[in-house]
Amino acid sequence: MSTALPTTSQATSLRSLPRPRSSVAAWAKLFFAPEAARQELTGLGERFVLDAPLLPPMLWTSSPDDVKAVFQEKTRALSFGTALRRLAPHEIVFGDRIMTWWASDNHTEVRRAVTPAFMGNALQGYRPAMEEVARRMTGELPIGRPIRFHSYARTMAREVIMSVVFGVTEPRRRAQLSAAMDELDRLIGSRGMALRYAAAMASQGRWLPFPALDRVLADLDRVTHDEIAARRSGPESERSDCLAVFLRIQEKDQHALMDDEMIAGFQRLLLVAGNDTTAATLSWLIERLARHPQVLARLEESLAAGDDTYLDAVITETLRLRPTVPFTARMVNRDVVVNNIFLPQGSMVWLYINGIHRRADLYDAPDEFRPERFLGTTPDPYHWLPFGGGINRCLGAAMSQFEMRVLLRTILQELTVVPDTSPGEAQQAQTVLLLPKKRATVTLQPRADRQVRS
Amino acid sequence: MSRALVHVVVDPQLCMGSGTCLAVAPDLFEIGAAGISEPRAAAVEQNDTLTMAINRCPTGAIQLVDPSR
Repeated sequence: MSTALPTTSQATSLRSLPRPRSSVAAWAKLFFAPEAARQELTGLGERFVLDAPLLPPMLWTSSPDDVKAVFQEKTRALSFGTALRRLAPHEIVFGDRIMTWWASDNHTEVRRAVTPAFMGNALQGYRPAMEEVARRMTGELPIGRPIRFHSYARTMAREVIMSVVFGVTEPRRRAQLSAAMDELDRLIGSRGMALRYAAAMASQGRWLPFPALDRVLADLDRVTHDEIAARRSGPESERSDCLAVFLRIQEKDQHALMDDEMIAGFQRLLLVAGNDTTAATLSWLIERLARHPQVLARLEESLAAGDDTYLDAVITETLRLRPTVPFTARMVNRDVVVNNIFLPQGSMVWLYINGIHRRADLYDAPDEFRPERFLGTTPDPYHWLPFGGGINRCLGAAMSQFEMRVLLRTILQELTVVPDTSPGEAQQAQTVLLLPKKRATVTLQPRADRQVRS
Repeated sequence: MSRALVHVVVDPQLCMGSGTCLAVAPDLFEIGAAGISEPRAAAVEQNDTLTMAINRCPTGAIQLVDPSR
């Protein structure tokens, strides 16, 4: 299994694998009609190849064995950072420092250093602020009429970022942060961004300068630096937000991996990676619950009994059926054999998350929403990978699941979702995220056992 | 009836300290000072929890070594 030098001629070559009639059409379909693409492309087999002009040759795989081999590849022949640089705007959004770190040899070292901020005790520390946001925002949700829940989910995720990640409470600084986040949103969805993205694809990964984006990122960093300065000069406090955890990591960091600039980079990373993804999954959760009243009833019962196990299963199942990012990729840095496939330098391997999550040999009735399948078990990392895997597994995976748990639980303590018998919403791509096409249009009602809101 | 002991080894090159093994088997693993998972005991009895911790590790960093070999 796994890797070896490409000395064996028995390895499967990309040439011998099936490919769709038009790679360009298939590539476009993966983004613009993701469900049709899944049905069509997984029909070619668990592996297929896309070979489109301006793009590297791409192996797409839905094989759990391939997934395992890619995640366990130790020789650094496969690079997530390089794949991002080549195909995603991460470099201009996160900055060179974070991207260089991502592709560097001390990636794992830094990652281990910051991991405590994303699990265990740190998460428990974030809980009160998350609950406060959830309660406040639940109180503002319109009831008794159809709403596009996604826009409220975005506001919630955004408030969590401001309170839990940045931990900014001083009103002027909070206003600066809010303005910078608005401007960042605007720029990411702007025509200027789309043009630069197209130019980067055409030039095989060279990004044109984007001064407006640089300015807003500098604004975000300034908020972090001002907040750090305020905390250093102020009295010792018992804060438990991400920034506080990062600062404590910095104090204990003997290798100077986490200077202030790196902390600002991570704050930015959390903002960009943690906002829209969490909002998307929260929207899918509500969309799925509206379509499955029996699941909602069981969930409400279990939450009333103070039991989170069914809630976890509902979140896990939603991430299986509606992963917000339906694939992940690695760039091949040098010729390598992975699970007996020869991958030439310069090619890419894509793990087709949407394909893997719907395999009938891994999941009974794979198209059905059945949270029960995850009760009493934890998902297999090679069968369930909404957060990717290996050393590049989403750093915020546990934090994101924790956040969704807190937000959904708090909403459902007050409100219920009116059942909807219409077909489920289709997956629609917005940049690389798959959102509910009608943005989770649902009607919320106060729970029957609660007082009507005054 | 006691079952054979197996040696648990965590590959320091692969482990990224995700804490998955701790979540599955808190009795068997802890995160050490280097931010890497460490088996609490070098030799343990093979059981389902251990198997699950091994299978669930996102980087496949946990390995069993049969001491009799």
